[in-house]
Amino acid sequence: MRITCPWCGERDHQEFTYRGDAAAKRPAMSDESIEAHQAYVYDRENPDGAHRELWNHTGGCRKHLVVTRNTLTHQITLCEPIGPWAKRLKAAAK
Amino acid sequence: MVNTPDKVSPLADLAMPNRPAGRQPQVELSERLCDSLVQVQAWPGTMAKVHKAISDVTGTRPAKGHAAALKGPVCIMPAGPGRYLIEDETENLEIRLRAAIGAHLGAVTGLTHGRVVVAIRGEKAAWVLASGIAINFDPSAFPVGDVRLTHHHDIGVTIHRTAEDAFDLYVFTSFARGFWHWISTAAEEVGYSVG
Amino acid sequence: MSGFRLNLRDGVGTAIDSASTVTFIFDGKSYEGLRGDSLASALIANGISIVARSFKYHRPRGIFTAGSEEPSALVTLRKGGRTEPNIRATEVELYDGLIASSQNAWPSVDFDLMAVNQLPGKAFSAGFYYKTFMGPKMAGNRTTQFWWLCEQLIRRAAGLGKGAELPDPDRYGRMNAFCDLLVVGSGAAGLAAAELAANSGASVILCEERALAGGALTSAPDFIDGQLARDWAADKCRQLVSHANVRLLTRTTVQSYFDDNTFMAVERVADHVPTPAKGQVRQRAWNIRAKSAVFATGALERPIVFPGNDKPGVMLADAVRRYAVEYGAAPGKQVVVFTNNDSGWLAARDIARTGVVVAAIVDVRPDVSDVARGAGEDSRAKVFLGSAVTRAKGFRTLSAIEISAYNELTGKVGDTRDTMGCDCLAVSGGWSPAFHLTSQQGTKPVWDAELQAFLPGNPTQKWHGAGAMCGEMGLQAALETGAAAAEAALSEAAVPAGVADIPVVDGDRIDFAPAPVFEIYTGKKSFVDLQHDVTADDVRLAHREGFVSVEHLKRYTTMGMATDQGKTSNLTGLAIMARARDLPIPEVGTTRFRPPYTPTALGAIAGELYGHLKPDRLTPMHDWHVANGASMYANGLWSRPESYNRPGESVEQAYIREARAVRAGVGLVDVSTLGKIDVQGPDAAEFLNRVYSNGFAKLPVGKARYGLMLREDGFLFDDGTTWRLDEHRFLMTTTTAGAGRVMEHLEYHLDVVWPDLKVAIASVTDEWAGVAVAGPKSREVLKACIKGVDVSDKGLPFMGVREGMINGVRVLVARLSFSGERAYEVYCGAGWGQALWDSLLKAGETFDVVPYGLEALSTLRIEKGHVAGPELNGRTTPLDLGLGGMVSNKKNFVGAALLKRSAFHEAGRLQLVAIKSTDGQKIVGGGHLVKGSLENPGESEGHTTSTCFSPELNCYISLAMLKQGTARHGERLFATSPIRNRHVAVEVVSPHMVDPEGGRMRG
Repeated sequence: MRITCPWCGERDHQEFTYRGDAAAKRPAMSDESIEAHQAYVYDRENPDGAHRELWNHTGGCRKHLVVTRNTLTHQITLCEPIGPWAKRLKAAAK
Repeated sequence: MVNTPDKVSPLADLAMPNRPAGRQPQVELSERLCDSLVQVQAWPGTMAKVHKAISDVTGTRPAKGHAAALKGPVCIMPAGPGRYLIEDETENLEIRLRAAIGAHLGAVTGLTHGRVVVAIRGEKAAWVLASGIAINFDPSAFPVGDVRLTHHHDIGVTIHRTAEDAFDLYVFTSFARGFWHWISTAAEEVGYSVG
Repeated sequence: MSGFRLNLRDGVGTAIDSASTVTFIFDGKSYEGLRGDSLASALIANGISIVARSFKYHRPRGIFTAGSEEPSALVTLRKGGRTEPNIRATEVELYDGLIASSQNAWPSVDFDLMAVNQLPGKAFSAGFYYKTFMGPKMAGNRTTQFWWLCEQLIRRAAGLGKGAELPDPDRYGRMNAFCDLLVVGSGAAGLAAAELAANSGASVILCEERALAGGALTSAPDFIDGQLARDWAADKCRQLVSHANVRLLTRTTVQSYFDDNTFMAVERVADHVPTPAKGQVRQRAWNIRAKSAVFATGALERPIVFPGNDKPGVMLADAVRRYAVEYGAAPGKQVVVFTNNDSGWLAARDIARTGVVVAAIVDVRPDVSDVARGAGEDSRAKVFLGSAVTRAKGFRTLSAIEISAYNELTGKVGDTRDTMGCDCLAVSGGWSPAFHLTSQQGTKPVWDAELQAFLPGNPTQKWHGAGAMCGEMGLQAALETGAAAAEAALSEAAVPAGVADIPVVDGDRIDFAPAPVFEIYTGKKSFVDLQHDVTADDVRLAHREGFVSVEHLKRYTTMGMATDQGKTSNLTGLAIMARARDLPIPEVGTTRFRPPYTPTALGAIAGELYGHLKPDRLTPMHDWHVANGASMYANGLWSRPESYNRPGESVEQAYIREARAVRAGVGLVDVSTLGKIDVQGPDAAEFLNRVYSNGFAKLPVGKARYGLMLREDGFLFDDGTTWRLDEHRFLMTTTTAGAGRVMEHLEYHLDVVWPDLKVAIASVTDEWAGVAVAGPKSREVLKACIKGVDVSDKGLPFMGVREGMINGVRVLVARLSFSGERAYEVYCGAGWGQALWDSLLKAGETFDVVPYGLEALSTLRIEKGHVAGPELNGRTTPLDLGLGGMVSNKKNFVGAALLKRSAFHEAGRLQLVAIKSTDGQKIVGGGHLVKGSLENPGESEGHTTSTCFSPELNCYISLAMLKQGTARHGERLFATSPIRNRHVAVEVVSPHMVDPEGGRMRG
């Protein structure tokens, strides 16, 4: 599998570390409910088909990105930056 | 006043200059000693100010894209979004950069001891590297002067292409011997000398 | 002895250098071959017909094909550590001194005692193992028990060659490559594709399995642009390699097709020479990332199955043709061709042209084309139409065949027409496109009724088929589709394609469509899968017993599961099943080919990865440790001193001495391996406050704090001290093994969870060397060498952090204790690590300082009740380990919410305790805590985690996790390990066995 890091460019997937479902959102610091955290840690859709997931480019710039991958074919249709630099990286890509 | 001792590299005994008898070596390996290596990380909104501060301290600004900026002994390598690895001869580079870049502008981390620089040059340099590093070394994809962040066998490597047939490889210090073992073994196929 | 060397002349032995003799050894006997020979062609030329014994029945087997699809002629190559079993003789290039031996036979292939496996007849039919060896294990089931005994004997007799028992002395390389276009196969289609791509300026990698590029062109009689096909191919290759953007890899098999057009190809760099040159790799695995690919892999001829079809001498027709034409090696003196299609007739003609007698051509069809008829006339063979070979006869090798009338529509065998002497039967049952690579990627093949074969199907990735691989048979079609495929591929690679120049072909034009005949059925034993000894009756048996789906058929009969993956047998097996089920072939289905295409040496896959799959990490003081008697120990990726063993001292004696010396005086330990993370930024303190369970917001500058990090699910994740160097700068330390995952944990939270925090983190593990100075006299040692730091309790209190100089080296010193004694951690730039170590050793000389290793370090912390890896095992919470006081209830942090879940607070949880051996026995790690005896231990109430001998308590001790352990101090239990026959009487005590008030480390 080849993944395009928004900063480093296209690399082998061995350079990246999988970090799970990108849809999982941690509750805000003000929210201390068990239910909300339970959902964040455990609840996953596990779709067949397009799946937005987090990968860390640990073998490169060490930044996370959101990869849209088809779970049936491994086909990757989109690689997007995420995090503090996402806006600038998106602007630079245009 | 006691003098500061010399830094000791993990490659000190391995990277001893030698030239093998027999066939013509097609690459030369060497360790390049680096006096000061500092990482600077800007915040997303402070890039311009950090560039200015770097320029004030080193006399040159970071280049665009993935190219390194070179001026005399100074080499500024892009190392991620808003992140630079800066090399210089002066030993107080970290202190001067920290003074110029406060916490409000970014972070300054000394890495002088944390990396070992292995240099490889020669006709077959890219061939030897490609045998263990999965990036495209074709000059059209990796032009002279550019920098790539990648890894070899779980060892992080920052690669600076200093010429068409020459590369500086910044390797984590604790892995340096393993890396040297690999690159020198890989280079046996084409023959190598140590410079 | 029936094969022989032909008179080499123009057009006979085109691949052979007739002037250059090569000596080789087969089964201990010396033979001569010629340069250019394959091992198979040399064996044929030397009249050797039996080269192997079959997998199950030990039937004699000969050479069946001339390529990598060979099912039968498997040999063991070379000697000693270079021994390599199950190598296809058809692929081996002959070199001077080559040593090969037959396998799976004893005492020899010619007289094989193990052939008794044939005698029980039906006993070894499909499903034999399932039916025989998997019976219920019960008293009285004597049959099954008897077979269990036999199983060992049969297993010894069945199988392939034996692997080497010595280390492989050769090197295996890797290469990463990138290209616009990968072309697989260098026949007409591949060359046409590569040429167009090369002329268009694309970067091209062209892979050819054989040593000589050209594919079928190397022995084709046709002319291309007025040039003999093989000369045209050679010229094209010369032109191609003159392009800087083209790489031609011969002896290179594209084995695997992975996602996103990533390929693995194996180049046999030095398999055609006795041993690789100095520094040369034996094989090189190419990892190729291609923007697009053209598969010009051709088609594989398939046999027709008939009784006795596994006899040495029965071969594929095109193989016989290639041996005669390319190698000048005639596989027999009397060749008969048996075919269901026109290509067999051309083969007969080409074979006859080399001077071999083609006695007859047998075709199942009642009538054939004029081209075929003409070729038959040229070959001067007797022609039998509407006929089939119904039996191969001969004691061990083929000596005669029986020809009978045959109705291709009904499959009925009629009267015997002739019995003819014949030592080589060349069979052609049609052609199956070689779409193995696209099948690996899951592309479903589609049936072509005309060709009676599966075609590759529609691409799901960026590839294009060309030539016979996609059913475009014949030379002209290959050249045209090759160029067309390249054009399509180039547009995918975003390279503008030039204009293709399709050459003119002058040669045979035939219809490749065969009669739909796969098996001649007479009720006698005939083989479908030659490598796994699967018969046509086995397929029918599978059908009768209900294993009708193609996946069941495969597993029940093992058809297609041998090392050749059924390249020459799968379709025939399917056809027989289809007939049994009375279904069209495509409705029976196909199985997916798996990588690699041909068997691949594990060395080629492993490449030169070193250090047990992960690289080693060494501290700056590594050489000193080794030079001073340390036995080294793997801790994560790091190599660390276990103990410094004096002459005659065991590891246990050494660590007890070292631990004692620390408690009595002072010791040094290398702690450079601790993970170190630089945390900076205006929000650094807030960030730490969120990732640690205890408070960090108010940590003063110049102070360190021990912190607990939890996973979001509430379990303990890692621990370590974090030092506040200035308002916005912290140095975090982690456990040695946890550094990598802590770094990723922090990166995740900064990138994904709290992107608004201004915090930068960087791994500085390798930047800093660390030495812990521990023991009551540690302060004296430090005082003797450090400048710029007041080491008094006031100047450097417990958990204080200061900067100073030791012999010209700038150091950070923090007063921390893992051992429970007064202690300091001293950090400096890694390049000065050895200098610092030397300075501290020198300063400690007057205090009898000792270096100590991981074992003593561990002993000291176990005595103190400090937790480490075995307790931070991913199943414990701070509460379980008695660290509840470090869980803040004044703030939110990672893990806070889910730690509140009720199950974490139930009474039955395992809690940290210590145990002392009360009977003097050593406590085993991983032992269980029980009340009962060794024989009847009863329920486990917990387990031991970290064990050692305690010099301080003078007995064996261990940390342990025990149900409700905190409330059970003083209780007597047993630490048991039935599998190691150990049962130790222990007393449960508080984990804080040394200085529970902490006066020693603070004072």
